[in-house]
Amino acid sequence: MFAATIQAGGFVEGLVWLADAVGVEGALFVGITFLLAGLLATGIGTGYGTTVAFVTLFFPAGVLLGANPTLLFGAILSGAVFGDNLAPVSDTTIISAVTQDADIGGVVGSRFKYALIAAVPAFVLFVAAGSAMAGIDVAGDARSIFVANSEPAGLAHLASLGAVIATALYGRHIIEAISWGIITAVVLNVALGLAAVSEMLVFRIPTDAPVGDVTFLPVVETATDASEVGVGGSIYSGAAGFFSISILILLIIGGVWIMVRGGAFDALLEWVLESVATTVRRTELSMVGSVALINAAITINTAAEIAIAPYVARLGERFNVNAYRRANILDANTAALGYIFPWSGGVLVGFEAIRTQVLPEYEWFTAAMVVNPADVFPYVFHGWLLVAVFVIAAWTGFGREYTIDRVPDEVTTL
Amino acid sequence: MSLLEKYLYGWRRRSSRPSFDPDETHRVILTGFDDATATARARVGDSVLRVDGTTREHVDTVARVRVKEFDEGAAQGRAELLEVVGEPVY
Repeated sequence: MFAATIQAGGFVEGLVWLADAVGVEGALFVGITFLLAGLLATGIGTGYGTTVAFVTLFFPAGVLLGANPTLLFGAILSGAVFGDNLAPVSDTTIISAVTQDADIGGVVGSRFKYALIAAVPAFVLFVAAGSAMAGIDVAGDARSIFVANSEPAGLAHLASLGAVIATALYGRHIIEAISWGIITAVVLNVALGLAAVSEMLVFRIPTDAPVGDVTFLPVVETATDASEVGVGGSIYSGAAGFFSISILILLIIGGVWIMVRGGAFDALLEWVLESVATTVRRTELSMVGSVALINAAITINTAAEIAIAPYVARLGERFNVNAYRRANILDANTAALGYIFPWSGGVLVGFEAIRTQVLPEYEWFTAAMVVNPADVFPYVFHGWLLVAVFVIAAWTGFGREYTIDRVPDEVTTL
Repeated sequence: MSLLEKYLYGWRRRSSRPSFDPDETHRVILTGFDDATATARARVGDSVLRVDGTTREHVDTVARVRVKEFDEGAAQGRAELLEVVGEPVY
């Protein structure tokens, strides 16, 4: 709801304006795209939403500016990885903290080092590859796309992000922090004319509704067609978008607990402990590998994370690995691989946005410019580097923490 | 721990065989049972503490223990149970 509401208020259009205002061009464009996508994803907590927003607004302009389309798509996916991994309001961040019994703020703080170590060389790689990899020569005016898609006032939603962070830093519950963010976003949208009330919440009633004329209310509209009757707006659609995945997650949790109660889970664990995870180093490496395997099988990263979370917890607890470290191994590799495998949800949502939104929108954009998911996976630099950081961290012990080192706070504090 | 400390914590390599000093108290998960000594043990990384005053029922609980002795070379030591404080997450 928070992400959808600040997007309705043009926050991404504000970032587009910012990119245009500082005159980013050429090789640096790909690097800056990575940074801005990472900023958006960290603010709104949804990598999928960030991917769609950047593919539709940044991608066509970047292609016109001479950026290689495959590399540019890789930079957008990398930004999504960064935010999914680090954002306090990201679903995967919250799941990793809750399932490992650690506070969200501590989890974010403890994973900052891994994210930074991966992000710095990823940015350098994007700039370097942006210079080395040729773009497509198309006749068009990139600036006109920027101007058409830019809205400087959208940057006001930095205050919405600030409201979430400030409330959270004040020690309030994560639900309360996000609620203050939604309230701030709604007030800014209305006060600055960024979005009408009906874009955030609308009840479309039939013409013969037995309630009299209530269309003077800003949240009520008359549906001209029976198929339009219903509830809409960012607040509703933001929540509704998660209904189906919530049911999938409940089913996965049910399946996992059937395995736990039935003993299959312990049998699998004992086998792993006897044959593979015989030292703490091998245990952490096997956690990274197991998270990779589950993400290859379950393409929605949230669902994959929930399915493997009990395994990571039990295995780590056998070596008294701290909840923060377990949460970081779980989330970083889920976030990364959920945007690397060509069949993963993160890649496919971006591919679909290019195919169904960018392709029909611009005359100069041809089917040959649509990026094949199988081509982009080597260029998700931040994702690959994040996985590499964790393999090295498991091997060397960098960042490792035990239960004896510190006790996490209550789960929902930031 | 302040917010800044949370972000700066852990920028270092941690040994796979952590060491302990006598009289230190720690909160650990009791991870197994040692039949030879009839005590529960806490494996912390690749170090092991055998915890006096425990039974098989204490395995898979979170306990506060006081370290009695620890041999860094063998990465093994003894501790005593102070109290059971909870259960692991799963």
